[in-house]
Amino acid sequence: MTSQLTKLQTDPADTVLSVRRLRTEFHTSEGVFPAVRDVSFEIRPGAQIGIVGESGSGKSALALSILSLVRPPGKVIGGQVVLNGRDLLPIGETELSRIRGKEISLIFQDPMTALDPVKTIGTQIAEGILHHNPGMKRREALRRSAQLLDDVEVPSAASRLRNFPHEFSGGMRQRVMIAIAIANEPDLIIADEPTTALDVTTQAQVLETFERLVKSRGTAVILITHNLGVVAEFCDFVHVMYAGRIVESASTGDIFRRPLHPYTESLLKAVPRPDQARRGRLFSLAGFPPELSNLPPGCSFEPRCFLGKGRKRCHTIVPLPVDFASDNSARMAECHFADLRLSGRKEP
Amino acid sequence: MARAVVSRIIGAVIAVFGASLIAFLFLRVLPGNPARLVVGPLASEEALQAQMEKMGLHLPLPVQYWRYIADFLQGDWGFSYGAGQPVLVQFQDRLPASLELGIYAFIFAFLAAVVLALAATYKRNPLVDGTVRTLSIFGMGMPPFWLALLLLVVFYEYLGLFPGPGLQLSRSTTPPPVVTGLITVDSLIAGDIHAFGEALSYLVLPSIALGMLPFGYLVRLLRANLLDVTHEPFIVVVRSKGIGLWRTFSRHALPNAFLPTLTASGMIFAQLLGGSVLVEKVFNWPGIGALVVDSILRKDFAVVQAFIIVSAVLYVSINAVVDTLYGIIDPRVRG
Repeated sequence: MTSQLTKLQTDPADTVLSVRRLRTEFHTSEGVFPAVRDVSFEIRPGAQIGIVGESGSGKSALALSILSLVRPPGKVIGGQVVLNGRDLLPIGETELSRIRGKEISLIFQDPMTALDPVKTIGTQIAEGILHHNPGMKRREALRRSAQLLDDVEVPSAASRLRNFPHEFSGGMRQRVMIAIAIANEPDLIIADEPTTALDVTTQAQVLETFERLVKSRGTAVILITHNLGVVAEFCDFVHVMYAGRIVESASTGDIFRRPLHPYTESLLKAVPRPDQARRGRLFSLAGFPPELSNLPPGCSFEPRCFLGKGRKRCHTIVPLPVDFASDNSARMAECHFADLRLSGRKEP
Repeated sequence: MARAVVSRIIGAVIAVFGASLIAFLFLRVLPGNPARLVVGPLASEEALQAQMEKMGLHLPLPVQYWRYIADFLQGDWGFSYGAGQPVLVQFQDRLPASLELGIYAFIFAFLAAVVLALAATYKRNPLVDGTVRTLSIFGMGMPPFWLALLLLVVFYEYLGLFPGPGLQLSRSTTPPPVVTGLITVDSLIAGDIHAFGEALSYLVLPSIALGMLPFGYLVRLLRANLLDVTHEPFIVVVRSKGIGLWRTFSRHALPNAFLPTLTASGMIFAQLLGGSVLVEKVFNWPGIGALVVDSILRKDFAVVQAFIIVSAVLYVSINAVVDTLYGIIDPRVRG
């Protein structure tokens, strides 16, 4: 498999994060749930990539695995998470606490619950700054926090440091989250559904602020979302995740122009497109993602697939990732019919 | 804000008066004539009538109640015929010992609950967690008087680590001058470290015996709340800043987990301050609990009524303190 992914792997000096064959399992009394199954991808400095999938596809588990913050009963079983040239999985908590927040940080999905309700905004931003700048005075950290709040366009920033999270609107809280994430100018930010809980207008504004800040600082971003609209707007490159695996990777343009994996195609068809007049009901993908503790023997998407349904090959053989990288763009899909679909021949 | 305070005070006053009214009526509805108990079974009908008039029992109930409340507010809490003493004097003698024991029992229960709830949830070691849960069930299921006896047998009788029942200070130690009535506090005020240490050693076993049940309850509550809080997304966010596990627990998880237990803690504290009959009996502790039970059996109305009112005042004021604390700790309440 590694050989088939060679073109997705570039010069190590040119990647900020390289995830290799990462596997995370949750061991519960109901069985073993492999939430992340041998996932590999990488991201260059300053790049903005998306990881897309339904709820339960393993996106969030992937984010926590990268940060070594998976909680029991979850556990990273194997693989590598190479950040700035060193693997984070074998190193200890002390060293991790110097890396988290400094080289890599996190923006969490729900701004309503992602801030400590009994601590002021100022304390919560300054906490990370003080942690990574030992010896800094609290006053100085708060001054920097005010500057950060100003950067994320929170009005009258300095006076709002003493406010508590409940005194902020959802959009403002998400801006606070961004301020916390960029506080120590990390090389990489993982943004897990950063705008899902917000209304559409606020979503667009927050995303715009976020993009301006990461672009100006050269911060790489992994945006985890189920919202393809956000992906189209924000990401250069997309990984589509299904049942704990990346089933398709391509540039945003390629994904939207010609999805190779039937799952990607189903996701795209489920998005309303005002530019394409459509009669009747919007397409909706039937069924649910498979039970992770009891995956189908063949392709894990086969039971819901419009192509695979009933085919022996899809039902019994796990598809291998097929590399379609061209000179200027990497591309991969895990489908028995990916090459046929790419060549544009009639579907089998 | 001012309106909230005023309405809270009015509510508190109504609660205390309600308690006093119920106490008054309930005790008068019970069969038996307290005047008969004073004069004895062989006294003549005239002597009984005279005693009833002396005690005001011939008056209509509303008048009796009104007199009682008016006297109470002026510091006349009635006369205990059983003990041959004014009730106020009895309370001044007995209440501080119960308050002191209640305070230390609460400190023990609360500190032990916080430490063990943290130990049970921090790193989620199943062995530690199981031990704490067992201790919690043990604390809630063990009858306090039985635990009191066990503690005495083991730590006094066999090991001799702590002093036995009957005293708050050894006879050779001069008690500190009375300021608050609480020996540990008074000895500190007097600067008498020896007396302080000794008073503490006398408090250890009864405090554990009395505090074990509330400990079991609190540790269970705190552990559950801590587990809930550690699953909140903001804990992951704190960790993603690089903050270590211990600091995340002590600075973020604990204050949030503590909030929902505040009301229960206040109730438990008020209950402990009211004294405990059985634990006081086993340790022969000169507290209010034993006095009240004896007074109920003797139909010594004045003592029981005073106790009910004092308990009501304790509950109401501790509740008010808890409400204020919420305002300080939880910014959402301040609003």
